[in-house]
Amino acid sequence: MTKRDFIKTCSLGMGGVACGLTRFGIAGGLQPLLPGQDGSVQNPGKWSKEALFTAETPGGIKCLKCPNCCILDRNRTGRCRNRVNYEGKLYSIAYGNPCAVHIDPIEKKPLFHFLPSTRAFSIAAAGCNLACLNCQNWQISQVSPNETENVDLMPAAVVGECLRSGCESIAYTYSEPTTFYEYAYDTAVLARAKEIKNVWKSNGYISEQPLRKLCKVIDAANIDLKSFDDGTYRRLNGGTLAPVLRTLQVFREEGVWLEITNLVIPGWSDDPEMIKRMCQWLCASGLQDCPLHFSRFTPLYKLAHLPATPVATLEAARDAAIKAGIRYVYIGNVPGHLAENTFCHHCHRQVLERKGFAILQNAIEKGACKFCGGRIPGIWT
Amino acid sequence: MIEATGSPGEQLPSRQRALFAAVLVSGISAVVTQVILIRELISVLYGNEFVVGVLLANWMVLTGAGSLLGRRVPVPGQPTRRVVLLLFVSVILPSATTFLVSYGRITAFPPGAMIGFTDIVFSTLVLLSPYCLVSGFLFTSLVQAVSECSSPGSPALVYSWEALGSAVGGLLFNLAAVHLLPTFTTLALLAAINGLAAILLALRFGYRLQAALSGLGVLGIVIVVLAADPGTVAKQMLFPGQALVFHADTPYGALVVTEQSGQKNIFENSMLLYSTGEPVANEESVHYAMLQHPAPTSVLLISGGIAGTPKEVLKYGVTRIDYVELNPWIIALGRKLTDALSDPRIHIITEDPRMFIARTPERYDVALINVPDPSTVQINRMYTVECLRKLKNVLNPGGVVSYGLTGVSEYYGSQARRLHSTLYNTLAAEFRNVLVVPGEKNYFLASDAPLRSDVGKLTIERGINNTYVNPHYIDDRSVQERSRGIIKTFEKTAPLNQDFLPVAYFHQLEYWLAYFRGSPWISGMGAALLLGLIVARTNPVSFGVLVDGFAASSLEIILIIAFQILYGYVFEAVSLLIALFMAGLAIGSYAGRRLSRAQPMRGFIVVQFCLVLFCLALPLVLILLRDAGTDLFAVRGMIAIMVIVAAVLVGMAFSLGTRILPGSAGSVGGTLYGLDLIGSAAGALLMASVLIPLVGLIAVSWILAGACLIAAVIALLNRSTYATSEC
Repeated sequence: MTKRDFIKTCSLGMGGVACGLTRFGIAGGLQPLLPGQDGSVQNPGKWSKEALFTAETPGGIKCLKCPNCCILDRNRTGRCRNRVNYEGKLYSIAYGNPCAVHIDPIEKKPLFHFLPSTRAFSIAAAGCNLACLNCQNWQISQVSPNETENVDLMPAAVVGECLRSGCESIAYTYSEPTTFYEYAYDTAVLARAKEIKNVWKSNGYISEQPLRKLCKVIDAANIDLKSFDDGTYRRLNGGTLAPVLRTLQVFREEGVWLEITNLVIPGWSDDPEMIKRMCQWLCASGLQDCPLHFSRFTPLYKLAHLPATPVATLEAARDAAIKAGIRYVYIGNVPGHLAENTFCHHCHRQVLERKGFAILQNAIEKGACKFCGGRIPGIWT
Repeated sequence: MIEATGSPGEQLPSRQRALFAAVLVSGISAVVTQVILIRELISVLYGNEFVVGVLLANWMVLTGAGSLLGRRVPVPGQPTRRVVLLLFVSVILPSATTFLVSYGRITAFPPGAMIGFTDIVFSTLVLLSPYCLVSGFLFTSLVQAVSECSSPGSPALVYSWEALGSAVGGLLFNLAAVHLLPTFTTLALLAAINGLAAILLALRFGYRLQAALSGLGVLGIVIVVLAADPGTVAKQMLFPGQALVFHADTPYGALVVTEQSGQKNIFENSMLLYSTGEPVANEESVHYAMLQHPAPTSVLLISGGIAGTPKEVLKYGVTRIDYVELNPWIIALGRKLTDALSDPRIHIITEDPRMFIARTPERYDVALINVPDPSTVQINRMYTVECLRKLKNVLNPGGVVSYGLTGVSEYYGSQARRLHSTLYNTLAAEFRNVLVVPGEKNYFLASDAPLRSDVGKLTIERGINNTYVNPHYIDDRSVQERSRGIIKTFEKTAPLNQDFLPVAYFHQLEYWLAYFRGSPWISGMGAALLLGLIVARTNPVSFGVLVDGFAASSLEIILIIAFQILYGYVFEAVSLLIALFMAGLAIGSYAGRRLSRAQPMRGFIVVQFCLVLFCLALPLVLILLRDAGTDLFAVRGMIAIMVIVAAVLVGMAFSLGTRILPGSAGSVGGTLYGLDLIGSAAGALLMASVLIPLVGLIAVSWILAGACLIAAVIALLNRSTYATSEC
C-alpha cells in the first residue's frame, strides 16, 4: 500500500464513520455537560444543587430519581439531561433557572376538582425523563437547561412572585418536574409555609422513595397515563408502564388529590379493549374517585402524520370508563362538549357547568351536591 | 479518445436501431421512475426542498456508482446480453420499489411518526440502490454495446439519446400520465415499454430465453396491477385503523381522505390538512382577524376553505369571499365531502395565489392567509415582503391580513423565535401595526389600522357566537400578557423574508431539524470528505465534467425556483422546463460531437468559460425579470431560453470530454457519466438543501460562477497536456 492509498483509505473510513455517527446519534451525545453556567472547576454553578436519591456504583453515580436509573460517569449527563456527575457528585443543574413561567387557570392542567376558578403560578425547568413522539413542549423537554434561556427564580422568589400575582397555587409543569425535583421540592416546602398549594403535573415516571417524600408537600397532582400497554409506552414514550401505575397507587395511599389524563392517540392508545382494561384497573386500585380526562390528540412534533382523535372515539372511551366504574370522566380539547361539565355520581345531575376555563354554574356546596347532598370528591376550597 | 462519426438520424442496421431504442427507453424509464419514486417518498417523508435535495443526491450518487461499477467490475459476456438482462430487471424494479416505499414506511418506522433526517438519508439510500445501481450499470453497458456495434462516439451518442428519452418521458408523464392514470398503471406501462425494448433487443441478437423472460415479467406486472390494485393497498397500509375513502396522486401532492369513527381526514403527502369538526382551527384562523375590522364586506381566503372556514367568515355578513386554492383536486374533494363551499357568496379560484393577488381587480377588507408553515420555497413565497406589497395593494384602507404559524406552547426555542421574528419584521415592513395572538397556532395580524388583542371581549361586542373563540376559552388578560411577552422576545434585527432570499424557509428548516438529535452537518462533512477524495482522483477534463454536473443540477434548480417565484407554481410549465433542460442536454451532447472536431480541448475550455459567464449573468437577468413584471410572455420565454442554454452548454462539455480522454468507450463513458451524476448530486444537495435557503438565489449564482471558473482555469492551464491526445 502506498502512502497515497493509505491516506485515501483512512479518509474514506473517516467519512464513513462520520456518516455512521450521525445515523446513531452518538455525535450529539459526545459533548460532556458541565454543571451550572460558568462550568468552572471549583464552582458547579449558581443554578446547581447536589441531587437527592443517588447511589455510588463502580460505573459512576446512579441516579435513583426515576425508573431510568441512569448511571453517570464523570462529566456525563443522564437521560433527562439535567443531572450531571461533577467531580464524583451528582448535581441537578435545574435549580432556580426555570425556562417557562406563566400564570394559568387551574383547569388547564387539567384539574377540575381542585380549587376551581383559581390560578396557578406555573413553572418549568428544561428536561424530561421520557421522549414522547408527540410532546407538546419538546422545546423545553428534550433539551437541557444549558440550552434554554432561563430566568433567575430561586425557590423563595417563586413563592414571592406567586403571592404578588395573587395565585392560589404553584404548579410544577410543562416539562417534567421529576427532573427538577430538588427545585420543586424546596419551592413546595416554602410555599406550604405561606399556605400556597402545590400542584404536580407529571408523566408519573418517578421512583417510589422520592415520590413518597414529595407527597408530603404536594396537594394535588395530574398524572399522564399515556396508555395501558407496555409496548406502546416503549415505542411512543420511551418508558414503561408499571412505574406509572405504581405512582398512581402511591398518590392515593399518601392522600394527595389525584386526577389522571389519558391522551387518546389514533392508532396508538385508542384501542377500546385497552381503555376498558385501564379503567378496570383504576377501579380495582381504588382510583374510581379520581377524575379521568380523555384528551383529544392533535398532530404535533414528531407525530405529525396522524389525524386528530375523532370525538366519537373519546365519547366511546368515556362511556367505557363510566361503565367500568370511574365516577368522573371528562373529555378535553373538544370545546363546547357536554363532558366538560361535572355530574354528581350519586344523582347524575349536572353540578358544575364549565366552558373552557370558566365556571358558569356551580351547584357544589361545601363539597357536596346541592341536589342530593352526596359528597363530590375533590378539594373545593 | 473517442472519434465521433455518424448521427442518430442516419440509416442504421436493425440491431443498432434496437440498441438506440433501448437507450431511449432507458431515458424514459429513468425519468419516469425518478419522478414517481421521489413523489412517493415525499408523500411519506417531510416534503421540503431539503429532503428533495437529499433524495435527488442519493439518486444520482447511486446511479453514478452503478455507472462506475459498470466500468470497473469485469462482467463476462456480451454487453448486449447484459443490457437485455438489465432491461428485464428494470421491468420489475420500479413497481416493486414503489410498493416498498409504503411497506417500508409502515414496518420500519412508528405509525404516524415523522422520520428524522439521518433516517431519511440512509433508508432512501437502501431503498433506491437496486434501481439506481442497475440504471447506472445499464448506461455503461449501453455505451459498450453501442460501441461494439460500430457506432463510434458512443458515450456522447448514448448520453444524448438518453437525455432525449428523459425529455420525452418527462413530458409524457408530467403532461399526460399524471393527470390520466393512477401511479401503478403508469408503472405497468413503463414495465411494458422496458419489456418491449428488452424483447426487441433480445430477438435482434438471438437471445430467445431472455426475450421470453422479459415478456413474462411484463405480463406479471400487468396482472398484479389489474388484479391486486397495489396502489390502494399501498395507500391503505400508510393509514392503519382508518378507512381509505379516496386517494389520488395529483401534480401538487398525494391526496388521501380517510374516515374514522365518523370523522373525515384529508391528508396531503401524509400531512393532515383538515379533519371535519375542527372548530378550534377554523375559528382561530378566521375570527382573530375578522374581529379587527369594524364592518368587513369582502374577504380574501387563501387556502383552507374546505375545512369550513367560509362558514365562520359568513358570520360577519360579508357579501363576497374569494377563496383561492392552488390544487383543483382539493376543491373537488371539498365539494364532494362537505357543504363548506355551497354558499353563493363564495367564489372559488383555482390558481396560484400570488398570481391571483397580482392580477385581481377586487379589493378586500380582510385577507386570511391559511397556507401551511413556510416549509418549502414554494409556500415561502406567500410570506415574503414582495407578496405583502402586492397583498396590500388589494386591501381596502384599514384592511387586515392574517397569517398563522405553528404555535410554540410555553417556550420559544431559538429556531422558532428566529422564524417568528422574521415574519413579524416582514409584516412590520409593510404595515403600521402588527399583533401576535398566541393560540393553537400563533396568529400574526397586520394592518395600518389599530389592532386589539382582547379578542374574547370583541366577540361579545360584535355579537359573534363561537364554540371556541369566546371569553370562556380565550382569557384576554392571558392573551395580552403572552402577546406582549412574545413580541418582546422577537429579534429586531431578524432579516426580512424575500423571494430571492427565503429566510423564513431556512428558519423553518432549522426548526424541523431541531426535532431530531444529532447533527446533519456531520453527515454533510462526511459527504464533503468523500467528494473531496473523488475530486482528488479526477484529471482537469473529468473535473470539468464533475463541476458541469454540479452546475447542471444547480442551474436547473435555480431556474425552476426562480420561475416559480416569478410566475407561480404551474405544474405543466415546470414540467416543460424540466423537459426542455433534458432536451438541451441532448442537443448539447449532439452538437459537441459535431463541433471542434480538430481541437476538442479548445472547445471544452470555451464551453467552461461560457458557463462562467452564464452564471455571472444569471442574477442580473433574474432581477430584471422580477422587476419587469410577471405577466409578460417574454418572462416565460426568457426563462425557457436560459434553461436550454444552460443545458446545451453542459451537454456539449460532456460530449467534448468523452472525445478528449483516452480509453475505451465503456471506460470513458462510464467514468464521465458517473462523475457527471456525482456532480449533479452535490449540486442538488448543496443548492436545494443548504445554499439557496441560506444565502438566496443571487449569491448562489455567484458561488456557482466561482466553481465553474476554477474548472475553466484548470482546464486552460492543462490544455497542452490534452492537446496531444486530440484527433
